[in-house]
Amino acid sequence: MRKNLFWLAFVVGAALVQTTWLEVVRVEGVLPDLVLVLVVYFAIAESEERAMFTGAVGGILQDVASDTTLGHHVLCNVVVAYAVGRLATRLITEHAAVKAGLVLLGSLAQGILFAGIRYVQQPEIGVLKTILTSAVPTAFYTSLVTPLVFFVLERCFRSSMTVQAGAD
Amino acid sequence: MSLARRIAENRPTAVLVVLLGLSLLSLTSGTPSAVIGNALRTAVSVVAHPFWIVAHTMSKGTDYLTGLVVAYDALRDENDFLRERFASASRRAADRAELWEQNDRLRRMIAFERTEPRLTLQPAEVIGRFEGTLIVDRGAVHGVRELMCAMSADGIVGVVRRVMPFQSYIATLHHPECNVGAVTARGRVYGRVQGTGSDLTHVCEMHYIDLKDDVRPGDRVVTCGGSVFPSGYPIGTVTDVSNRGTLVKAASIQPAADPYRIDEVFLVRKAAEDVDDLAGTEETAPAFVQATDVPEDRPLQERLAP
Repeated sequence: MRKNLFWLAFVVGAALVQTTWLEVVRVEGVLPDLVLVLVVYFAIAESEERAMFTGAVGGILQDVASDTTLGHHVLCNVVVAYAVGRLATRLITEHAAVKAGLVLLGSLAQGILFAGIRYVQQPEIGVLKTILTSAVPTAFYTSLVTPLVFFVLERCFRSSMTVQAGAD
Repeated sequence: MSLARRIAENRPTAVLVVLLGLSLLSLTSGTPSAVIGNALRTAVSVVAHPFWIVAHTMSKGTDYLTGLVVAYDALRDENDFLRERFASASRRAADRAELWEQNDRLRRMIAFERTEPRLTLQPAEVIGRFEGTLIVDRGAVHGVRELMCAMSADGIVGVVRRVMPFQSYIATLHHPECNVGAVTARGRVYGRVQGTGSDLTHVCEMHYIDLKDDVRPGDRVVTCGGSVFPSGYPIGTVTDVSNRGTLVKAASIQPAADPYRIDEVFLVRKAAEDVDDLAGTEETAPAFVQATDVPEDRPLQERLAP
């Protein structure tokens, strides 16, 4: 219970940071997707189920913050969480490059999915242009910040789990 | 295998299906994300409302209690401050009104000076007044001489009676020593206007009006030529005509320029003669005298005799 509350607070905090303070690291209009890094982290470190809930909670907050149709970010995050969770069981994910690669792939998949849904909603917006100008740079930028974010997450959740284990 | 067990075994897939289903349902129905934000705000507002009420009530109570002590001094300071501001504003308003009136008077004087090109005028400011006499701030050093005419844009004020180096005394139309040759504008009735010396009535009198002459209340009285006063300038208006059982009658004149309400006057340094005065009338024009060519034939002793 305590771990779940900590996880919820962390995800909500990360989503809030993503939608507010992260603007200071915007480069050429591109932002790293902090929620997606969390999704991939939980998919690797725990299970696809927690990763999906992470994606759902973070996606709702992102939808509210960006005033898009409810479910847009949620759907993308949940699909990526499930896929990465499944894939992570078949990979040796201890290496940092593998983690960054998974984040890159996940972010690319999420961007393509996001652009596709937007194209269905608004066909006048070109999907290819969106992918090339937004999804690909975002994926690279997100994978670049992955080691740092994973380091912080491991510090936080390993110690949390240690405390939890001690309490148990 | 029961459905519940199959779901439990494939829980991640079931969660995926549920979340995807909800997301797709929301996307296809076009649910705006703002509903979540509004719902969150509403929930927070509803939950926080009682706490806000309590906090507000406590704040009001605290303010009331501290106000009993603190507000008295604050109100007193504010009262003093507002009094000072009110006094300052009143002073400024009075100054403004005074400046407005002064500006109006000066404008009228300048307009009068411009419309009277035949008069050379010396402006002077009234610095004192008593018993029908005005004291002005121009004297001998400024070129003021006795018997100069004093006038304003409204009309004749009086005559310079005494001149000091830096100030002069003007006997106004209320002063008994002020004598002005006058004529009524309507009937051309001549007389002399003199002050009564009374501070009660503020009127002067026109004397030496023949009993036969037609002078009525409301007649305008102006200066006539042949005196220190330039001709044709308003003296006042007849308010009453009285017959005192003598051969002449007198008229009360309300001066056009009230000396008691004048702050600036013009002293007439020089007045060019009016064209009509220079030309004269048929009756007053001197008869043409033909010079004689007859030589003087009287003896020298007779011519030089006293």
